[in-house]
Amino acid sequence: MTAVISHVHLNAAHEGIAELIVTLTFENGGQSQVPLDPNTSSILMSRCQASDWSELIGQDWTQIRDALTESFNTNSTG
Amino acid sequence: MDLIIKNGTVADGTGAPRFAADIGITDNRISHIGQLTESDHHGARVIDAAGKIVSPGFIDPHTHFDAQLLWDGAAKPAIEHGVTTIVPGNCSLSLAPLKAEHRMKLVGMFNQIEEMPHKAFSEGVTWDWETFDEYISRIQQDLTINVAPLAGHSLLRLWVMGNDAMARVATPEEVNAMCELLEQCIVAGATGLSTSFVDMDERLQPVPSRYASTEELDALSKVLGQHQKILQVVHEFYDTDLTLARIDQLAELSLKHDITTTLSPLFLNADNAQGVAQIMTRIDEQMARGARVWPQVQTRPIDISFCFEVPSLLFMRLPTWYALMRFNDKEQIIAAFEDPERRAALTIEAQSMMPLWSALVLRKVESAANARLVGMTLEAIGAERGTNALEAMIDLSLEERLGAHFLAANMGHNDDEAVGELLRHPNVMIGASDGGAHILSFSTYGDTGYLFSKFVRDCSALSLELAIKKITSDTANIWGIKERGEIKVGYIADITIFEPDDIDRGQEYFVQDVPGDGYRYVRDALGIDQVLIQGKLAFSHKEGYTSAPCGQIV
Repeated sequence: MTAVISHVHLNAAHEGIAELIVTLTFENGGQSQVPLDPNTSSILMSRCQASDWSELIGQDWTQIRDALTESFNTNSTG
Repeated sequence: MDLIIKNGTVADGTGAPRFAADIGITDNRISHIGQLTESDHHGARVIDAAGKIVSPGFIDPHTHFDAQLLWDGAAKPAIEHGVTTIVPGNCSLSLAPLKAEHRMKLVGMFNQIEEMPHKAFSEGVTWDWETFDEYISRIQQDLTINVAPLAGHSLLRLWVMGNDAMARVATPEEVNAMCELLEQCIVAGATGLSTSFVDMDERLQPVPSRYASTEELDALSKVLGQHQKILQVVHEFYDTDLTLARIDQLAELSLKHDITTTLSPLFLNADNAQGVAQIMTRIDEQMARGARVWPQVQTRPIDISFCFEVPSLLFMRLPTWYALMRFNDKEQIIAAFEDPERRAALTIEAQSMMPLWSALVLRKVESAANARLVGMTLEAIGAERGTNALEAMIDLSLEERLGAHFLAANMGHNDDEAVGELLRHPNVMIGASDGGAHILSFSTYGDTGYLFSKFVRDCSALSLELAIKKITSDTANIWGIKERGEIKVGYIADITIFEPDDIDRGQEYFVQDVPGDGYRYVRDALGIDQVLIQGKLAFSHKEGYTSAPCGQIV
């Protein structure tokens, strides 16, 4: 089953910064939300070649997966 | 009697209506409640509490004061906000048990997760303990506030497994060793175990507790049950389905081992209201079947702060701004702000968000020239300068070479009516303050004052008596803290005296009082008159802290 980004909005993260909340909608109509930190959000925008956050709508969930992986690997030293 | 509190209005922590009464204290306990005459004084010190509320001392169940207690036995400014007992060691992180070879690892985790600067440890901490018992002995030397310390699951794993704690599940032998170690911590004074399902360490790898199997947590919970100690977790609070799964997991552990569990935090935003409703329904269901699963809800809203040196997602809706911060270094951003054409394009794009810019507060600057503007809104600064908030924001950023920090207040957990309803819920614990953490980002002090100013006085979401009960006897009963949390004959005299119409948190400000010349955000308390711990004056509004060594491990 696949999923696409159906909605994005900003949220106030508990550590006092703005985070991006991405809503994924699955083929069966189910939804889930994924919070993304600023660095991962930036990587997602780049991967999707988006200059505006509205251009994230309709992108495949794998873009989020890959953005998270890239963010993790970029920051991880272990 | 050693001390008498006269003429006060007692709200005893049970939720019962307040009543006029004098309080007599003998040694460290409440010995009398009622009318006391001159002939009863017998040389006792007298505190006049006329016009004030006499309450049990407040209990803060979610703090990270572990390191601060090593250089500040009062955990300032907790006591001046009326807090007489704190629970440090949350979220799988305590400072013991800790072998010498793992000290820097722990410093890294505290820095990454709780934003405690490295230098505070190197300048403020003499590493002279390894076991939990030794850490307790260390902080007891200079303790003004009461402490109910948790033992961190990540620490147990590190002690037993070394670096393998961050790589794999434990063997049965290692689990047994952790259980024995947890037992030692409990005997030494640990109030329970803390674990985390979400935190990342300084390498952005999962903290050791996240490698634990469910069998490991089950085995440790068995030990907790044998000693009637609590399990604290930080769960996947950003996802409703995962939170529901954790509630069910904690409920099964609670029922199986007869333990109290608590998960923290639970936030309420406009976009997750439905999820929170589902979560509370599940909490109610599990509590109704006898499980003890307490979600913690903080009182304060969430603010967002930023400066232009670090890309903020607040600008994600403005493509030119966002690209400027993402793809340019500090000098390039300054150049863009200084270029008239580029600045004009940026301001045109940002006009639609003027209400946000106008509400921003200037929270930190580097220069003395702009220091007096700290705490003002950008609208006010703009008006003073004959311009608007947006131009003021850019100007200040240039003047401070991007070192100006701005605050957007009340951006999350900000529906007062809904949050008030949640705080009032009988199956919700008021907590999750994170006291002592995030010191470079915002102030985690004053949540108790905000409870009264916002949710008692402003919104009438809770009565004064219920608010006091929620942060005194309720918390004490949930955490198994005996003989505290009520104004009751025979109970320990931890007492907070405050002005009911004035109690509040003050404005946030930056102060340099962290070892290593470090800074942190703090808030002063408003309306707190005096705070007694074990019957001794720990703080008074007129004279400040007394440094009386009256704190206990509870």
